[in-house]
Amino acid sequence: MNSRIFLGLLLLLGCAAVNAAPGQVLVVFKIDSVKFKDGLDPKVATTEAALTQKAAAQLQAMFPPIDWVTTAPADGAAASITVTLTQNTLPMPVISLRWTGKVGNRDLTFHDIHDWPVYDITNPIRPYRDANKLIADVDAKLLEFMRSDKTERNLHDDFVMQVPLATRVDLDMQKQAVVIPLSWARAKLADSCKFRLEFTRAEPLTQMTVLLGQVAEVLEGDDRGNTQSRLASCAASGDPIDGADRWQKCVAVLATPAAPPLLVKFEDYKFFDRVSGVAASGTAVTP
Amino acid sequence: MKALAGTFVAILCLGASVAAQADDKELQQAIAGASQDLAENEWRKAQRELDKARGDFKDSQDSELRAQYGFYSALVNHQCADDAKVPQAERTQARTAAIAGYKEYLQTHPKSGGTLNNLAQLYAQDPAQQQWALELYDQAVALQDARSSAYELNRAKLQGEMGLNDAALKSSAEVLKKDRRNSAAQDLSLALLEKSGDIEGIARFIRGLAETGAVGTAVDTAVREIERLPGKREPVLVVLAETLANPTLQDMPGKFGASDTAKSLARFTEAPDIGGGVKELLALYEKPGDPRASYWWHQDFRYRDDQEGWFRGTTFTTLARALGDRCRRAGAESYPCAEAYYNFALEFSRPYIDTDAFLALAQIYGTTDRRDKLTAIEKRYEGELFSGKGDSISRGDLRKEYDFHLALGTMYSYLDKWSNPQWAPASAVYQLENARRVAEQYNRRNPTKPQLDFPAESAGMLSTGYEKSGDFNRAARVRVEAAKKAADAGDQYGARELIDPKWMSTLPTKGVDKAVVDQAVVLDRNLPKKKTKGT
Repeated sequence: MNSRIFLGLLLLLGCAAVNAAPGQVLVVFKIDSVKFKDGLDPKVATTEAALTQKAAAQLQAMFPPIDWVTTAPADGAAASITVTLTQNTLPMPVISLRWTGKVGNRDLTFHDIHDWPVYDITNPIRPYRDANKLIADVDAKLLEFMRSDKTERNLHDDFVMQVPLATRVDLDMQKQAVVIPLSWARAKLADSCKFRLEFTRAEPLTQMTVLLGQVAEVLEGDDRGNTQSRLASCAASGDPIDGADRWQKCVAVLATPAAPPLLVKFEDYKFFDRVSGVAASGTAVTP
Repeated sequence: MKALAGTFVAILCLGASVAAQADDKELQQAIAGASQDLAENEWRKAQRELDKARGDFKDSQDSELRAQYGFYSALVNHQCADDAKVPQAERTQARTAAIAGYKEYLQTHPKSGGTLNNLAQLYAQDPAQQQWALELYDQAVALQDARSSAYELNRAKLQGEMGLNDAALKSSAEVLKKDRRNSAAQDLSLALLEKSGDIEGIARFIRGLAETGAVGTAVDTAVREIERLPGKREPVLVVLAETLANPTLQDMPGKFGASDTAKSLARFTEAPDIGGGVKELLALYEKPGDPRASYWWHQDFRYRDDQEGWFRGTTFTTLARALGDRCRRAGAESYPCAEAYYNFALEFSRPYIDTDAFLALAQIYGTTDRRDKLTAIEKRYEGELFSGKGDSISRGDLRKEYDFHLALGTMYSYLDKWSNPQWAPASAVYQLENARRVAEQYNRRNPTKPQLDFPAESAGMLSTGYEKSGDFNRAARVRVEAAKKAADAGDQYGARELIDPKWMSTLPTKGVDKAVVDQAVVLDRNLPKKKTKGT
């Protein structure tokens, strides 16, 4: 395929995904287990709604920079994640939670997240007809698995990194800083967090990948409270760009009137419930 | 003329005030800019910002703004003093200036936690001033402001440096209590435990990490400690195996050999303290072999859930069962793998039966219709199941006794052993009856604990058991009681599952108490009609 057409296609696909609200992920909880569906009828929909809220709340606590919504925004969410309550064919069926995800129209593969058993064969009590008990049990199981750093890493690698967070950035040309429209207080970013900018540069036509690090809070100006970052590395169609004019080549193009459409994603997100106004050294930076 | 002079003076004053306000605006901007730079540890840029505004600072009448200028100037000096790239003499000078600046700020703002903390940090650098630093940290922590955990962590670090290990560990634990994911507090706690050579403390700390969800960190930490510690690492290896059994780890056992954890452990197979355990652990992941060959692990079984310690036998059983669970959950094609691990767990733990491994194995054999296998494990482990049940009864452990009754009852139901005229306990009816009785007893004795719920399915099973043995009165009573209980709890459909039209049509009128029949009829009349699937 002609590379120009290919890049154009990539861009188009990217834009289709994020014209839907960037940074928002629709959370869905589905009950597929026939036993629970029958048992909970006619309360299946309300139970699903309650469980959707529980799942969204736990995802929100785990990855706060993303807006985990439970009703689809008008333009559609940038991505969606679905938790399904399933059952297997054992005599006393194992009831599990299964994860699936989508970004735009693309199905994602969860490599290391397998089914999470809610009621395993060693637990004979299955509240097929008790919505409140099911909600409490699923919530507890979600908590058990989601507070695990292994789950956090798996969800991060297989899903969070693919979610478009924003479609624009502000540039501080003097400081050579990139400001991402993401609330610093809410995002809870560790120092090691990195963002990835993806866009297509027109001349010469190249797919740009820009990594941004050194995250910090913007303390003044119109972007006050947002997240500031600095250029860490940059590649044009996979070839690294180095040198003193790296900022010009990699980022300044975004300040031009003909700035290309872009996507901001996480390259690496690590939660850190930072105490506001304290540096990593433990020194208070405000009185 | 006098009035004119007054007006003139007023205009002069107004002009001066406007000028002062304009200057303050620039001073405010300089302080805001400097604070941004300092938050990014760019003290030189902050210094330039503040230097440019020095004239405005001198002219300003706003005492609060002047104090802030003083704080940020002190902070510039503080960061300069901490900057290893700056010549030592300059750093010493900066430290002195920072101390003076913070002290001045504290005169007007004695409850500034940030300033108390920063001053303490500077004093902490000099052993002769560390006691003062500690007092300042105490003051800062006592304020309980939004940053108190940061002050507390700094205090813990200082306490550690001062050799006050217990106090340091306590402070660090306080921070972790508020924020379990605080990696600085985690690192500090571990460093303090290492310093004191408290190996059991290290193992407990790793267990705590896993309990709070940091499972991956716990595994990495255990491996790192095995590498670091010179010997007596048995508790660390036990806690590593315990963590590897965590249900949130879902990798298939076959993948373990290629992991960094396995590669690191492989270097310790000859270690005098844990070599045997490491070898057996790696072998278990590779393929569950002869359980009698796991000598290192085959000791120390936990008899009661509330026992504290490092139980090698129990841990290894749990790990084998957990690996079996992972295989089973991967689907029917991995059942052979699951069976191998469950069989290993059962044989390894003898004579202390692992009820969960037994139930899992029974389910697999039941699903795959291997009645011969089911009968074989029943024969092999039935005695131990009864013995385990007997132990729990003699200990008065109702919770465990309930588990045994339910496991045995469910197993006998799968095997269609509803009753046994030779020996009643070897039957579904007997075991399920007792499970129900023990659940009621437990719930009466422990009203504040989560209640044991005798499942409606088990009630249905028990009723079927009574029917099969011809006791229609009890069959009806158990079913009706369970249905009434469900209906009273608002579970109308659950009750209807038990009192369904088919059962009602076969309800004999003879041999069943009239009261029970009447109750069944009332329930049948009042309960909603049973729904058809798909409607």
